[in-house]
Amino acid sequence: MQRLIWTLLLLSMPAFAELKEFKLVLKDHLFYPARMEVPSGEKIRLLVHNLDGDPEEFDSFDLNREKVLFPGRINVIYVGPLAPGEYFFFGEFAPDTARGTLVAVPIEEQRP
Amino acid sequence: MINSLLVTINQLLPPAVLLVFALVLHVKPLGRKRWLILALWLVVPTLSYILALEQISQWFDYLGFEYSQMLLVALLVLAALSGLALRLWASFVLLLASASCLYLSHYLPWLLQGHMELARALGVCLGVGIVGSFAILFYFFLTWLAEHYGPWGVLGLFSMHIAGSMVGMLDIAAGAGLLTMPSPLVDLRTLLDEHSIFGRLAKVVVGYEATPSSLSLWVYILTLLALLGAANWQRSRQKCDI
Repeated sequence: MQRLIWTLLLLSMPAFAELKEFKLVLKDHLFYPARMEVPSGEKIRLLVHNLDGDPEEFDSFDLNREKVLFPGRINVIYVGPLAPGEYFFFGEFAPDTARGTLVAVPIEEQRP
Repeated sequence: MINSLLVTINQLLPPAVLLVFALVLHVKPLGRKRWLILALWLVVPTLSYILALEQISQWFDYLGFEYSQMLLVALLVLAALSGLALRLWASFVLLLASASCLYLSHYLPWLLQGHMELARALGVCLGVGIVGSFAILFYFFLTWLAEHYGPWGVLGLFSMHIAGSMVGMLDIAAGAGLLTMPSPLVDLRTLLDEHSIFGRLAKVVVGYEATPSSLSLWVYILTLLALLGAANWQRSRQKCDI
């Protein structure tokens, strides 16, 4: 079983290689940054660090993603490739405050 | 309060629907001993899994949570297949145990936070009441369906529910970077948005998706056919025995 898991992981390694990484922080039920530019047309790796003492659920209808963010832990979500546009996400357990937007822009238009 | 009510309904509806399906399909009545075994198999693995989840989530480059959820969906589908084909008590237990680990792993960590204000407790109680009422109505609907139209209506709905879970596994795999979902084939959001009340109900009961991709559609159809095939095989075997 363990060998099977490692084989699957090794097979999926090329998919993870050279992906751009973007960091989000959840603190006091707020996402920082609340608005973040990411490149369109490529898969990205979103690192979400929950600094709160409570769990949260990262939810996005636009991105079709749902993930429990455990307190004090780093969580990884793979997103994309995205078409240019805005993608809203929120914390299901604190939807009034924990809100943010990923803005997918073509790489040549991205701000440094 | 409204938020905790919505969270409770969203998170408890899928396991409640699955429990009703399992009770309607498992024709033999459960005695006290079997209820006890079932309760033990639901509580112990679920609590152990949820207590270990924080650690598990950090394994495999922070993707342990996704891998464990995919394993649970695979177990759920396997239990449904073997349950429909062989009608085993063990399949029934495995189905409910994997479903309770899978669905409650999002809800219980939130529910078991240190502080519970009155408004949140009220929301949770109201949510549990609404889900319970829906589950009872759904139970009567399924028994009525079975009595008036034979078992295939219930078997079909159950198979669609499990096929929907299998499609959910694709979304988990995409979130873990294991695959890239193709663009949607159709967009039915103007007809029925899956995040509306009826859309959510349709998603929970029959695995409805407003924007299905070709991959999710194929996985849904193949899982559905496999489950219905297993049920058909079991019924034809039963006829042979008679």
